[in-house]
Amino acid sequence: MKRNIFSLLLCLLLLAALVLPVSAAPDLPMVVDNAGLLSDAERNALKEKAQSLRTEYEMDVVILTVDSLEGKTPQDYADDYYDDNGYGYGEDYSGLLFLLAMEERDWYISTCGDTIYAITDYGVQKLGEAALSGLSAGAYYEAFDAYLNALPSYLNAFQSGHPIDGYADYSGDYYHGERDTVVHYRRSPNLLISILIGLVAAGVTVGVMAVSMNSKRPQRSASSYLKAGSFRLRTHQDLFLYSNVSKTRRQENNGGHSGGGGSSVHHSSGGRSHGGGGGKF
Amino acid sequence: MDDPSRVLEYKCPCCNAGLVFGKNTQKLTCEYCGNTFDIDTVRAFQESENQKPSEEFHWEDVQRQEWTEEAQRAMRAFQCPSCGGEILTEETTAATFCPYCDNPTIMPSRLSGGFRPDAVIPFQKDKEDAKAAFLRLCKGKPLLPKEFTKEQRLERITGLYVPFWLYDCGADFDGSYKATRIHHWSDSKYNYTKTDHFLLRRGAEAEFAGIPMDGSSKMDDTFMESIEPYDYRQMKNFDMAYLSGYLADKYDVPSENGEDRIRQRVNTAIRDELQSTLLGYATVIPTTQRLRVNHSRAKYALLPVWILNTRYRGKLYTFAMNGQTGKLTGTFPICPKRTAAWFCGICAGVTLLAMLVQWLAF
Repeated sequence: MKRNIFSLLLCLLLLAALVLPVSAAPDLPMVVDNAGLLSDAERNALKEKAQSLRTEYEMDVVILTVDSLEGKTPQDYADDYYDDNGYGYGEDYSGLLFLLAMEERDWYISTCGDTIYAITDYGVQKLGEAALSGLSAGAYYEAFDAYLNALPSYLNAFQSGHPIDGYADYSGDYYHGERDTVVHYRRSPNLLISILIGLVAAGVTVGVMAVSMNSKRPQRSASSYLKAGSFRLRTHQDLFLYSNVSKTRRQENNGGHSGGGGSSVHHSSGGRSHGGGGGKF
Repeated sequence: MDDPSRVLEYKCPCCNAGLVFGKNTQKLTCEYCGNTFDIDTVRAFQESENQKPSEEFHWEDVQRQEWTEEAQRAMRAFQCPSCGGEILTEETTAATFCPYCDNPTIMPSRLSGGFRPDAVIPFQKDKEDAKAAFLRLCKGKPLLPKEFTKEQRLERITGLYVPFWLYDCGADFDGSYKATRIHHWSDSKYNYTKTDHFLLRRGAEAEFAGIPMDGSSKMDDTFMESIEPYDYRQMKNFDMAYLSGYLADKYDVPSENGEDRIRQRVNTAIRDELQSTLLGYATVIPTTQRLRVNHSRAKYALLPVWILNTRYRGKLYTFAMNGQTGKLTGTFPICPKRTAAWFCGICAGVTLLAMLVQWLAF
């Protein structure tokens, strides 16, 4: 009897696990045009596109326009909106949100869950660029459309195991190209450099060997004949003369990326991990 | 006693054979009857023997037509006290062997007056030690020709007392340096580099004891430096008896000639010592430096050296061993084939390794 209850509980648990991801994705709007920039037809077209991306890549694709950020940073606003309204696909709340703030003229892409790694810092900037010309010109529908069209190449690359990351092209594995013309390079071992390393290593080793063949060398100094304790430092003066300061302008850092590549991750006020980045338009 | 023509040989008080200074016993040993004698004992014996006037002890300046004027000046003929044979020597030779009876012979006239050494370090290593040290040095040399190690024919191993000048000196150094320290920091817009400039002044005194410089024009100065240092704690007041059984030369380079080299070495030693007081700066550039070296009369000492000669493909290779510490130095021949083989082998190996690492890492 006891055993039966236990198996029943287990079955219920498994069932819950199966149902949960689906039930956690209620019918939330994928395009929220609080700033009123889009016509109904435009909004519906974008919604349709976002929805098809959602089902294909199992992630929420949200577009949000607002008049004002109400004093928040774009990052906080986007993260909080995403978290508080229950967006996110699956157990890791995968998805991304494109925020457009009219008053501050900010755009920001917030990523969450697996999407953080699908859209690297480089990807965020590239997606922003895809939308930027339209945004600057006031053609908001075209801008969002371009953004949605640019997404699949990044998501496909991620699914094949190699996210697009232009900041990391020193690693040897990198992608080149835009949208559907993504090319993947694998750097083959460089024979010339290898031979050069070999030559230098052999030269140094054989050089050391050859030098060791001759031990007939003059003494460098008379230090072995220095009377113990006779060395006395009479003068020891360090005089400061002057200083000069030079300054160079720092490298302009227009992305949210840190260092070489990959995705930068931060925590939203709700404690969830988010990635992303943004800029002005 | 001061007769310059005298040739001295320490004779065994027992069997009258030539005595040899033994490095283990630090005494005079007779190789024939096996007796050992204190140096003082033998000298006392010798002096008592020398009381009788003896014609044996005088050199003859034999005039021979065959010799040129120069050769006559360079060579002197001595008569061996044992066999009466004529010993021809170079002008600097102070101790040698009779070419006929092989008895050790000493020329006291070349070790007295201005040529009397102040001190001597007796041999601590013998011929066998020198041979063993040479074989040890041949090991672990991948570029050494195989035949050189295989045949192993040391042509000649000679124990030689080399004349050295030992300089005691005081050094007085003053120097100025320009130095900088660099700091980096940055704000949101700029990277800043601040360079602090300093003037450093250092003055130091030091004393050196017994910096050696060889006083024989026959010996290569570099060679003699390479087998340094000697341990002066085993230095003895000079006594001719230590020379018995070895070759010895008197100096022919005056002590003044070594002063430049001594100065160089003192200079380097002081700079090395000062190095630790110049730390903590990004750059240190010397501007003015002044070194005064004061030394008293250089001490004249005979120091023990084993000279090893070996021939390989018609070329003579010379090695020198410190007769006290056993430090052996010299130049080995390098086999071009082996060098090429090692070079190609290492190059190929490392190249393959580099390829593999690149393949695995990226």
